[in-house]
Amino acid sequence: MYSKKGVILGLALIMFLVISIIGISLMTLVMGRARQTNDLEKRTQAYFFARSGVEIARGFAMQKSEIDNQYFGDKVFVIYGNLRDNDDDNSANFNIEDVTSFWSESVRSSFEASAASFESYDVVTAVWKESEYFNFLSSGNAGDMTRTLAFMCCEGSAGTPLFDMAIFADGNIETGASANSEIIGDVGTNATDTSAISRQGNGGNGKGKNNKISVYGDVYFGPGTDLDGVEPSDYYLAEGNVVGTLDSTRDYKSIIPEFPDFPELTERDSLSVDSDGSIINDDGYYEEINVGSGKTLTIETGEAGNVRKILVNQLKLEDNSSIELSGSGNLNLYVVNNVVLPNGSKKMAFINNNGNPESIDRVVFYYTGNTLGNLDFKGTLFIHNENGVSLGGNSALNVSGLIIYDGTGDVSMKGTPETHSIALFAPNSKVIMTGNADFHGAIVCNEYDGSGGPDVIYKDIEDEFTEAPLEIISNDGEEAFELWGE
Amino acid sequence: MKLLIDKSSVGSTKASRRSGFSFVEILIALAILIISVVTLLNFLTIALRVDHTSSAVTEDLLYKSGSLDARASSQSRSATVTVGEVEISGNLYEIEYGRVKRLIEFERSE
Repeated sequence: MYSKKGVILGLALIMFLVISIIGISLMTLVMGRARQTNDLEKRTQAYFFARSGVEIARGFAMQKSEIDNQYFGDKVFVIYGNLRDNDDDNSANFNIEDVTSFWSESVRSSFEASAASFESYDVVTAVWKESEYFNFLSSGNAGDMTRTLAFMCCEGSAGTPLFDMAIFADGNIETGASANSEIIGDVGTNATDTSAISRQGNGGNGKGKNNKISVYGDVYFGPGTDLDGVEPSDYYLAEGNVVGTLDSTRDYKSIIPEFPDFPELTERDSLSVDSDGSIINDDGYYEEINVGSGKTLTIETGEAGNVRKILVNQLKLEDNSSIELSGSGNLNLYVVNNVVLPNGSKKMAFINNNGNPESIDRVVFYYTGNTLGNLDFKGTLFIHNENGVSLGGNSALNVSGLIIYDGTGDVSMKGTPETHSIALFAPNSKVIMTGNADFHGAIVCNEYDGSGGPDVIYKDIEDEFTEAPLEIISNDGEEAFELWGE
Repeated sequence: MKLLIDKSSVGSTKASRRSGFSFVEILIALAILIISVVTLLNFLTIALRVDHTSSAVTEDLLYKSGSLDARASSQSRSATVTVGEVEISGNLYEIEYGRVKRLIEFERSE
């Protein structure tokens, strides 16, 4: 009976306990829900801060790159600041820090490791450049919440202008000393030293002497060249022409097309063309092809889209001989050794003479020899060797398309040869013109050396070849793109 | 009168008293229960209110962050962010949610 004493109090306390547990559980659930909402708010704001950081850093990168394309180089910058403090005058001041020396190993891991030291700022963004691509790692901080976004972009570029100058060299350009030496068209270099463009010699026609005009066009130096005190007359420019700087450094070396390996083809009997009517209908390797004087060898190229491949160890074209195409396909002509061509000032051989000069990639002549002249060729010539090449022979070399040389040897035009082409594209090479050699077209080279009275006469591609596709050399630049990640 | 009183009945009266709950006990128990229930109801009310507010804020936040992302119905004002010596012009977009809170984003001008 005594056991009943105080039972109601016990029961009440138990109920109190149960109710308390229910209450606490309820509050825990509700507080959890409230915390989730609060976290979501902070996460959302942190996300927008992180995006703002990318915008700010991107604006900074674009403006800096416009002023100085080399500003970023291998550097890593961190931009940080607060966006919520700008209520008064709608402006915010962000800090920038060069962290290259601290973050050289891995930007991403360094960025994560440094997050704590920047957590008092709304926005923290690391920016660095790799090739043409800007990389951004941007963190937004809202309360104790951090969101990080990775962003990569390329602003895009129009590409390197192709063949818009009579001579463009990566380094020095020395024009001929003779009064007869003329360059008709603009001249440009990536060099930022104003002495990189000069006129050879200092007597007779040199500066302070007769000052005969040497360049009928403008002269351009690399971006950022100090042109204070530089006068057009220093470069013997025609009246009205100016000395200026390039918008950006031109990298032609990176767009040299790759010279293909010679194909392995079915071996055919050597061919000697002594009468018209000889036709090659199939791909093949020929130890020797000899086209007699005044004779024509026809190569059937098949239907459109087909590429006929002919590999010749020794090609001999006598005076007034020609190789012509039939069908609608293309021809890749691979020649291993020096082509034997007519010898004499008026003597010429022809390849694709009846072809359309604007279809510059219908015939591509891959050549590993080191001399070529007395040839009229409608197509593109691609020369590959390390010994250099001599162009023009003792008459003329007419190439309707491009002359590409990918080696580092010298490209020389000596004596009185004439070379006509859209362009001589030899970005690794020194182009040497001596005597009265003339080049009609544009020259892109590593260095240019004119001795005596050579002329370079620029032809505007758009005037000469309105439809000319220059697809052999890509200059499309970088396409703009954006890539987000979190 | 004294003789009429049976001793055993005296004992049973005592026993019946012992078997019940005292007024104080019931009073304390009732007080505990009332306080507990009132507190629980109070908790419940607060919980419901907080839950409702959280739901409303979450819903509004998701909707408004979408609007901010799409630049729809958000207020913008011109703003300049200076990084070193470089000035970046743009707009500061703000959108309110949950009555008094706001989201902010900066977007540079093209």
